[in-house]
Amino acid sequence: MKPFIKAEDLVHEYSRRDEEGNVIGINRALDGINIEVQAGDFIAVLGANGSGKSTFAKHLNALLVPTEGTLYVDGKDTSDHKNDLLVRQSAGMVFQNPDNQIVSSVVEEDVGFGPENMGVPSVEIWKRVEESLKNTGMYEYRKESPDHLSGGQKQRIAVAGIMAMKPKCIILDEPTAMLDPEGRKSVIKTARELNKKEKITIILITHYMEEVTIADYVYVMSSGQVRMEGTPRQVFARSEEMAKYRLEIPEVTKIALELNRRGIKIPKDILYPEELVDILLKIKSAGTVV
Amino acid sequence: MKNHSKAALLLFGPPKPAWRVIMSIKLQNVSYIYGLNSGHEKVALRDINLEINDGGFIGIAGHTGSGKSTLVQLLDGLERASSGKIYYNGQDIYDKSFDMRGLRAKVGLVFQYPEYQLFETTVINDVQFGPKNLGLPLLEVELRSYEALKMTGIGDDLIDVSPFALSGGQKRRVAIAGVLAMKPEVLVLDEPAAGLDPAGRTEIFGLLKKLHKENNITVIIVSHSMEDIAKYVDRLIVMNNGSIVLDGKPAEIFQFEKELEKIGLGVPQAAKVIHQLRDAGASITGGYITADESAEAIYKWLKNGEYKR
Repeated sequence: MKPFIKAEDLVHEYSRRDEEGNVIGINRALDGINIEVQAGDFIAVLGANGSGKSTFAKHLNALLVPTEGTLYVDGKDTSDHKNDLLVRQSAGMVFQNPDNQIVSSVVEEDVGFGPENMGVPSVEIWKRVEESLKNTGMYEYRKESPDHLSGGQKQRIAVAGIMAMKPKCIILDEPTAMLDPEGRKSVIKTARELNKKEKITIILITHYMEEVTIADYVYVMSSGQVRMEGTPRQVFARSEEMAKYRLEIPEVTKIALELNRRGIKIPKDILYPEELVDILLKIKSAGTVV
Repeated sequence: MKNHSKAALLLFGPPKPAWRVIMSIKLQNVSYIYGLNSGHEKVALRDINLEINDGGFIGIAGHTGSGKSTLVQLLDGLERASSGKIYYNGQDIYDKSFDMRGLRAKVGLVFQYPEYQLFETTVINDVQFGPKNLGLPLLEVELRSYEALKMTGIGDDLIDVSPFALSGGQKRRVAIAGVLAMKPEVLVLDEPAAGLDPAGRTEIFGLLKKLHKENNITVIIVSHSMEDIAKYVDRLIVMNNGSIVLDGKPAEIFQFEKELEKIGLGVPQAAKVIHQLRDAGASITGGYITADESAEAIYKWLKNGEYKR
């Protein structure tokens, strides 16, 4: 199957300029990225501040184009500006700050803004608005003003706005960084449901480890390169490497590793509290600890 | 380092390690209502009674809209309570004779994403802005700024650099230094770790812990992720719907896992595991805020503990 996203030796350089506009330095934010994402996947990209993960996200949406190498989104080369609109229609982006991406004073109008700009007929727009608001669990707020909503609700409105454009893929760039635990949960749950029910490809960019456990596949970035990749379990079992890239593993995994270090034979790749508790109770019942 | 800081050093010697003041804040039946008499009143704080004493390292947790940010704005006089009294070091801050400007220097407030408020051409200039506005003599301003940057771990090589050339974590340190340069008796920070990566979060909390220990500053951290702050604070105040619902040591607070989840807050996974084991009949004893604490308690239980199914 043809991958939905394909990055080949993708390089991005930011040039620093002085007041006259002369280049005084170059910062290589992406340094040879090779990533393939299949349609329908839930992918997480992890990385510390400054690792290049947001720069990568902006490439997926053709907000930035490669300095070197190529990136195909839905089969289209993003470096060709003629593809910009097509790329942005197939891959929609949700940013970190909910307040920076709301354009209208009524929720349903905000959600309809995208399809309206695409020239979708208005009957179809209303149908899509209703559908996306129901999909994100925000239908009951459709007549409200977005500034009466919580951060998590605003992010779900932003997701609904992208949904209404019928994208094949949604890129979420640290969508929960400014949210409280409840808001965080609701946004991640929404992303997961869209992936499962609507088969939308999800690229989640984050540094909250607990959010990554549900991903099919994880990439860990540092200094513009992919340093680790694998399933969440494979990646989290390598805690020392994660620490080197300024990341940390979920606490449950930490407990499992620490127990292992003390000689208790349990798997090192545990992701959920329930999972750990089950295993511990089994060990205790079996009486195999001496 | 430019000459001005050297001059300050020559005159005053190396930065003094600490300033020491006895501080206390007391809130009595404090309520705050937004839009009073506008027809759209919203109660943000209801009948708060709270005492914060010198030398604490305190966390205030609550979900969005719980009233925690309003509370903090009352502490340094940015907002005025709709009713009730606030005493700072025993003085009624709403008394006509009370020096409100002075209070704002004593209660140093660091807002969310404080790096967005950096604006000067160099790091040292930015840090000097606050103390300059206090009307202090220039040398005192320089000394304080230099000292504050030292305290936040910003090296000499960075003080004449543009703040915009720094990394996110460094910028935040500079912003905190700007508040420290006012020599606050209490430092209040709203979501100090927001947007930072895990290592950055650990670094910023480590810095606050160090400031607290070495300089005896009372630190109040406001956050909605108390899993983050639980490891560091020695007192945790939990707010919901404008009221204080829990107040105690983190380990005591986390006993109330179900109640906390009901009000949109979480407990650390390390505590969750212990709770689930206990619910299943394991008699585990021991603290459990960090992964290491929990692993230790689980290990002991596996070796010798009771398990009744």
